[in-house]
This record gives sequence, structure tokens and C-alpha cells, in this order.
Amino acid sequence: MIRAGLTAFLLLLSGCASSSLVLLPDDEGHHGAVAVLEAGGKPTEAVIADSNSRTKLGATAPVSRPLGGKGLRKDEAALLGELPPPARSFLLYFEQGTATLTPQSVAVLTALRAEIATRTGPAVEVIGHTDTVGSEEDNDKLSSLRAEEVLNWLAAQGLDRSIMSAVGRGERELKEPTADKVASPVNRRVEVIVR
Amino acid sequence: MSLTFIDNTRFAVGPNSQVSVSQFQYDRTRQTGAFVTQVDRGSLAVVSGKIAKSGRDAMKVRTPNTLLGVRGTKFIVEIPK
Repeated sequence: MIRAGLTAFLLLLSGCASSSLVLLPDDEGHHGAVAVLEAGGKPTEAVIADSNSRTKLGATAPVSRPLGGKGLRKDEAALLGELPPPARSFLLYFEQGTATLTPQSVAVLTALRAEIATRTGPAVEVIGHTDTVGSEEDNDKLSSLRAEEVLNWLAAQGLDRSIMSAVGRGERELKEPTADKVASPVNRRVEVIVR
Repeated sequence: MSLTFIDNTRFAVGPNSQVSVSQFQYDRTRQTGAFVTQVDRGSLAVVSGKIAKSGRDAMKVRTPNTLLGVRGTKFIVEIPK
């Protein structure tokens, strides 16, 4: 009985003593917020919104303290340093009705390959698009062909296919909104996202 | 250890940590979803991505004593031993 009580007390103690939150501005300097939806099993409406603050979690009305002159602890700074670089997106454009890259976009391939090479454990998502010339069905096929063209080029450069995926979205996601049957060099594109 | 999710959420997991993703749903076309992560021990740094932007509290983080709703930001959750 006493032991059970003691264990419960210790659990409670360790639960309360612990969780904390450090809120920071994001890489673009935007200030976000974290809501405390539940604390100690009770619903709350608290919102932590002070950037560069430290908050002990567990209370229904948490108090945030500025990080101040001391700033982040060494292990916290190290952890942030381990965050992967942000995802980066590349756009490649195609000649009308083909899976042939425009001459300017050939140069982008080199930049794309270089970006992938800088990352540890990269993943590459390739998304093909068309303009509205031609039928929806043909454009689904053409957008897939464009995406595969880029994926095949990367594979030929020695990139493992298992880290890449290609998909075609046809004329569904126009970069420049147009009526049907309108040629648009901006819409004839492949987006490549490197993570 | 660090990783990037398909909605561009980024994680860095500290040493001796126990972190699990209990829910991850993402609609690539609509860029909406639901994301629940549990941090039982150690530390987790997060830069939220498109799921957090897709709806109020679409991204949640659970610690042993709290449930957090992420509203688009960068933060560290720590649960020391």
C-alpha cells in the first residue's frame, strides 16, 4: 500500500518537474504560437506566444519567461543545429507538347543535382504539369512523361531511384490560370522538391 | 537524428529520446492533414510545415503531462529524466 502510494507520488513528481517548451521565431523570422490544449489531463485554453521564451509545461496557466541573456543551453543550440535544411523547390520548363526541357531549364538540372549532393539522406519528389492545350487525358500522360524525364535524368546521374518519386498532375494545377486550350510556357513545368 | 516529412515539417531528435509519431495523414494535393507526435523522454526540435498551417491544431505534440497544438512555428520540447 505504502509502496504503491510512494510510486504514484514519484510518478507525479517526475511528471510535474519535467516538460518544458522553448518557443523560437522560425527561419524567416515569423513568430508562431503553441496552444496548450490539455495540461495534467485537464483541457485549457492557454496559448504560448512569446518568441524566445521558455515555458514549464503542466500548469493550466503556464508562465513563459524570456530566454534573456543566457539564451539557449548548449544542448538546445546543438539540437537546433541538427535540424535538416529547409525543403528546396526547383522549377523546370518544357517545350510545347513535349517532354523536352527548354534550354534555360537544362542549367537548372545542374543546380538541382548539386543541391541533392549537399544533403545527407535526401528525398526527391518530382511533380509534372502541363498547360491546357490538348485533352485532359493526354495532359495526364504528358505531365507524367515530363516528371519521369527528370527522374530518369537524375537516375542516370547515379541517384538511387528508391529515394525519388515522380507523379503527373496534368492540367489541374496551373501556375498561371488560363482558359482551356491555351498555350502557356509557365504552366508547362516540373516541380522538384528536395528534402 | 533528424528528418523531414513530406509536408516539410522538420524534426531533430535529441540523444536518449523516446519520440513516436502516432498519427500522420497528409493530402499532397490539398496540402492538408493531421499530425500527432508523442514525446515521452528527451528532446525534440520542430519546425512545423504545411500540416500545421492547414487547420487549427492540425498538428499536435503530446508530452507526459500536456497536449500542445502547434500554430506554425519553431520550438523545442524537453522532457528531462
